[in-house]
Amino acid sequence: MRVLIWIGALLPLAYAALRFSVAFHPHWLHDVLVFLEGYIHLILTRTPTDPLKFLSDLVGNSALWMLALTLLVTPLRSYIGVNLLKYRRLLGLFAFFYALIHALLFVGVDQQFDLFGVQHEVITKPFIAFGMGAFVILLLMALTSSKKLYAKFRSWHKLVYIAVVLIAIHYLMSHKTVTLTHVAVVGTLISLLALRLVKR
Amino acid sequence: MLIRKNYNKIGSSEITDESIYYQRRDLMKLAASAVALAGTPLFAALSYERERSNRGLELTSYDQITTYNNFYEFSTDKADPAKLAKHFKFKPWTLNIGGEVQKKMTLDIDGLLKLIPSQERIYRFRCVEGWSMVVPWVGIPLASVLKHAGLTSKSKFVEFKTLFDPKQFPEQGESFGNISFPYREGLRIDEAMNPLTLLAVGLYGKELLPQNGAPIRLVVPWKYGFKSIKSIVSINLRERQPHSTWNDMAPHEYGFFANVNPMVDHPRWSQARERPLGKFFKQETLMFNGYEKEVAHMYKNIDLRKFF
Repeated sequence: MRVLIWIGALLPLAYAALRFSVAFHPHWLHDVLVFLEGYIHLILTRTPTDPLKFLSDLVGNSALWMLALTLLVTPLRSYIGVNLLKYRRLLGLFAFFYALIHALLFVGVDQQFDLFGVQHEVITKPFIAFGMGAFVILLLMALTSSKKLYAKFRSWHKLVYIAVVLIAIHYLMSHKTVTLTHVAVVGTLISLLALRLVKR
Repeated sequence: MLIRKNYNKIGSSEITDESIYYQRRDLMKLAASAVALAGTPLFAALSYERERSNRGLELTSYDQITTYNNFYEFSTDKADPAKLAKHFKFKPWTLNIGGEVQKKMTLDIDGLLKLIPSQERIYRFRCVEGWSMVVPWVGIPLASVLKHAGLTSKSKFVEFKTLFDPKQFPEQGESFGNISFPYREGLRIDEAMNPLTLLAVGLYGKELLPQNGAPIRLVVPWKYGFKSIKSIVSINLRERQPHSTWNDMAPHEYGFFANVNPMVDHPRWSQARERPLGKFFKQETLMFNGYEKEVAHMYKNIDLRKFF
């Protein structure tokens, strides 16, 4: 199971590596990918046209979905009786890992490590503030995720609910218009939250 | 008509490799010979006056320009229009020019091009979302078209509309729509008459593909891309400021002027820098997208922070 989670969680990175290396693909790989493209709705044989946006969206979405999976662990246990609790920390750390890349792309590439610029963006733009707020919560959780510290900071980890709400808003605001897909994604996040709150 | 333009602030890094430039000439020759051989292909090469130099701008590739498109009539996904627009029918096409003009006109594209010879214009293109490209458009100055129709004392604004045809534009028929259709845009008359303002019919020497706004679209290079309305069916001169789709939807985010301005941020993201397509790192955005000399005089008495 642990191996499966590692493989699944690293798929987005592998996908990014594949897309950024298109120019170096040997012929056989190109042919295989063209074949696969016919069956899955994913671009495999083109270098990203807007590389920074491609990577930022990919890791941002990955963080969102991995965080959603961590929220699924408790309902799975209480409603279906499947206990994945011992893998929750790993999933949470992967969510943080992708959120970290997402944040680093913003601070390092988008803002070119201009910390005053970052501060200005956070203060003047709620969209950035929501994302940054969620990241800080995930950072705190990651730092206190060892067995020892978790015992001590357990109640702090309830902040994840706030992080999910912030992420949902940040996600909605990252698009110019609201489409059915966006509604479905946010609906999923809210349902997962609701499942947790109802159980209490 | 040959217009002298002064392009300032061009860094040495922006200067195109000679080999790329010559590859481009080969491409043109190839396109021209293809026409000669094939007779009348679907996307014919155009005859036009070549721009003498690329003015130090590095062209975005034809492939990138034709596969990364914001065309919400097809989809909100930028890769989709290229796939969904394959069977878009734009021949025949009727363009109506009316409203406050001396002479109302109804034209097809061939008729328009017979009236006014087309020319190449290599322009920067800056999307409000933060990405940018450099496109070798082929088109005719909007001013020449408007002069044919004849302005009156009441021609103070120009209103443009995109085709409304839910059979061809899937999103126009959706009940959970992303924006309201038909797409509408507008310019002040001095902006419309500015020599930079173009009605484009092609790019890279070929007829426009549907995803780029075939058969005729507006190009206003100093404004954010959403002003450059695609697949135009009507141009009406108005006395009052016309509606503009994005401005109607979110007036605090998208202004009527929508001039490219690195000093005025979008409420959700900074406009100080931009992502040139194909490049990982951002570059500075220029005031009026680098066309300050040609257009700044039109906004001398306007607070650009208020009228963004």
